[in-house]
Amino acid sequence: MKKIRQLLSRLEAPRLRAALLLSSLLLLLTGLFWQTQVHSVGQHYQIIEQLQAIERSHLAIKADILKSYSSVFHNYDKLTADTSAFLSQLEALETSLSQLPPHFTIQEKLAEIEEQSALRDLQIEDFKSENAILKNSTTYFPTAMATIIDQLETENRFAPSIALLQQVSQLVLMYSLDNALAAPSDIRKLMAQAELPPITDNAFRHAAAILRLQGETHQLVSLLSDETLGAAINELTLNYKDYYREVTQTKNNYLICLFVVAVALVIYLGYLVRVEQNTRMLKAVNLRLSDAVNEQTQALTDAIAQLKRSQAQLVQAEKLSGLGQLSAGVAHEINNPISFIYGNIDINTDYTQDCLALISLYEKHYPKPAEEIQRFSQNIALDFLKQDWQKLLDSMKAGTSRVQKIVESLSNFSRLDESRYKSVNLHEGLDSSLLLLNYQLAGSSEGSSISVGKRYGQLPSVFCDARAINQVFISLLGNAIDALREKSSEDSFSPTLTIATYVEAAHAVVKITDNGVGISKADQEKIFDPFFTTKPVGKGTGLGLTVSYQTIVEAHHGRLSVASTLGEGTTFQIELPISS
Amino acid sequence: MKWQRKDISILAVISVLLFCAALASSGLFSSRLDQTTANYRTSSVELYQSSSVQTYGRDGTTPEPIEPIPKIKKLNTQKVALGDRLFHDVRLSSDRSLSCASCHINALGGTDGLPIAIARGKRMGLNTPTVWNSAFNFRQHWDGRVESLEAQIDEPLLNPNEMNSTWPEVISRLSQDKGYQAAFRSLYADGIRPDAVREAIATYERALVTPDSKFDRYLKGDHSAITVQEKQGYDAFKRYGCVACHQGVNVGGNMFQRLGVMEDYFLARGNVQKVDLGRMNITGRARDRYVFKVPSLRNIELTAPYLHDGSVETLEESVRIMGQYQLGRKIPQDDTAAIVSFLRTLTGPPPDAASQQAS
Repeated sequence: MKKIRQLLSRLEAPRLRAALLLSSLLLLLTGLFWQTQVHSVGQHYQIIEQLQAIERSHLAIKADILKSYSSVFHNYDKLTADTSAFLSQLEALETSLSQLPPHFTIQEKLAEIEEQSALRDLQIEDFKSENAILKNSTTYFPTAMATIIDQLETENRFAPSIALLQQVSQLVLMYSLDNALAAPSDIRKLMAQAELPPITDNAFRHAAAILRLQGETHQLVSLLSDETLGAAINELTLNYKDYYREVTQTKNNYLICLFVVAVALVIYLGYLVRVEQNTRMLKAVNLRLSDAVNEQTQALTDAIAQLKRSQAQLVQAEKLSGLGQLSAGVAHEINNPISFIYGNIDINTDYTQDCLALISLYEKHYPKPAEEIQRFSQNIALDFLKQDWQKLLDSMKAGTSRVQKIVESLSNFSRLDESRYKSVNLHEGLDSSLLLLNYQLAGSSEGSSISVGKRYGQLPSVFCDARAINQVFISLLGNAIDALREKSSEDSFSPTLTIATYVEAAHAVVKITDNGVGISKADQEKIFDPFFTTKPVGKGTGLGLTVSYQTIVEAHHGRLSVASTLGEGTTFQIELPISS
Repeated sequence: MKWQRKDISILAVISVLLFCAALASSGLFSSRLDQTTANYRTSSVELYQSSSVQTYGRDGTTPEPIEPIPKIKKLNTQKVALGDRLFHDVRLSSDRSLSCASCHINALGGTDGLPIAIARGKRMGLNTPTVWNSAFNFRQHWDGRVESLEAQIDEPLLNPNEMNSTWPEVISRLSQDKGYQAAFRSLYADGIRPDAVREAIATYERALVTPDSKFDRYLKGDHSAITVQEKQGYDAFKRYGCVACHQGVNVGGNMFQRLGVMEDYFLARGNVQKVDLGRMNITGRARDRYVFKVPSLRNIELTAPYLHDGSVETLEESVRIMGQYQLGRKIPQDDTAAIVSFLRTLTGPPPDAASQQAS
């Protein structure tokens, strides 16, 4: 019950209403249709035909009886066949009528006909039996009497009897011709008066049969010819026709109702179709509208994203140009003094060598120097000084050389002095970037040192904006280092950064892989969005990858993709077209 | 809201469909009715339909009271075969001692050759009527208590003194037979049912007819089919009035008559039993006392002894008794001989159910 109610409540009210209305209309239609089928035209014609057949059989039976009575027929086959046919037809009619709704008058009339026909059938059988005997006796009696009279005439004592016999014979014949011509009782009286020899017994039996049967047969024939059964059949026909008229009237009314309901149904269906069409049209319009709104929203969102990217680009460009100028300036300013220092260290070494050689000469020729010299040389630990001085100079030279390299890298990074697009060796860029990040790679309190694996393939020079590409390397390597550092709290973790390069399908490919914390699937979709960052506040800008994406994809028509498994590591893949 | 062309066409389609549905169903209903009212019963009437009832003699002018056996309607071969099997099946009797063929023996002209039928050692009331040409009888049994062959089957089947069966018993016995199962299934929608058993047996019985007797050939115009004596016998048969009752296709079998019209047969015979009351047992009317169905005289020479009580051994004696009690005539010896020789011409070739199916 509850479920049904839930189900119903789930249906839309208008639909439910429509379904209810439709089904009730259909139910009504079916009911009305059934009513119109109650008494089909086929049934009607069948019953009419059966009634006519019964009447025909009835008339045929009457004719058969008269023909048999008047010796037109010489056997009873046709009478028997017609009687049997009448019964079959009556049975068939009863079956047909029983399929109609019961009708009192018709049932009553049918019962009357059955009763009448049963009575008639008995009378027919009596007629057949009696008619057979009557015909035989009527045929034989005159001959029999003539024979008897001939025999009796030979003896005179029978003379009075002969006259009586002749009278009886005549009266019987008259009676057999027409039972109004003689009275059976009179004849019987005459027959009783006569005192006759036994040879007349047989003939008199025939006379008696004639006297008995002539009247009876005649009466049977008139009974069978009367109109009682015929009238009943006619009345049944009339009753049925009245009944059919009523039924037809009712049926016509039902038909009109049927038509009205059918029209209503059709109109309602049409209305439903219209409503459905309108609903569909509205839905389509709505869909188009919402599509337009969505499109505009999308356009706006795109514009906003574009704007954000532009802003980020601007910021980055500004940052880059500031950084570039700064680093170029610093590099330039440091480059000169470092050059003096570096250049003079060799001279200084030469001079120092010379000085030390001179001291050695003094020690040789003046093995016993003055007391003051001896004390001083002991104080300054001259022997150690001699040894350490050279080391000191070597160390200074190494440091200076390193400073020089840093400066070189800085200028290499900013390339302020170079045109933006040129043929670039990507390996140089990678190395410079790694150098700049060197201190982050080294082990510290944050974690053990990161081992860097370089698997450089054969790469041709790529025509690109080296400064921008280097910035991309810095961003990606920086992110990789952050990812590794985030994971370094785990025991037995050896943070590894692998840089692989190779050529594939006219593209220079750089793969930067770390075995750090990885990026979740959800985050992978958003990492190139501006201002998206997973780093703590103040550490990341949320622009690094955005700018990288713009640089690689938009500025260089390359591809930047990411593949990562959370907890296992991340690979960023840069592809730059070689031909351009 | 504007109506579109599409809507109108949908409406048109719906109304046409409704109209078609109405037409189709009304046709359907009337045809169903025709089927249900189709008459199942096959009476003797239908067997006559192929020939005219009044056959005229060979000169084409004088109607003859006796008519040849008409060509019968083609019967269903399989039903005849099934009926044949059932007719000879003792499982129709409760103690499996009797089949229809126990008393209706084809070698004895479709009777048992006994004065009074004996079933399971007990004498029945009446002489066994032949099953041959019984399809042409207007009623069955001596007292004509049933009309159709189908209805007749119940009489011996359920009679405690005869087969003493019940329909459920018969049906359950027949249902155990695989051959019957298959045969009934292929012929009757409802399988083994009492109606189907009745119809199959009756169909077989309808095949047991004997056309082409010598006399039938004579009636059909073959002058040489009967001898002069036989022709004289036929004339005597008509002249003495035998033909008043023994007429029609079956030379009898289409009316009732009292036994003892001119003299009291039963007074002469004595020992009146209930069965001797004849049709009175059925109608209850005093006038039907001693009234019996006039038996067919076809194949009469094969079906001795004669009369309902089987009391007469010979045809000659039968003719004498009929003359005395029915016609009130004394028939001379030579006429009796002629009539008997005529009666023998009514014997047809024994019915062969298999060949009847084809005719």
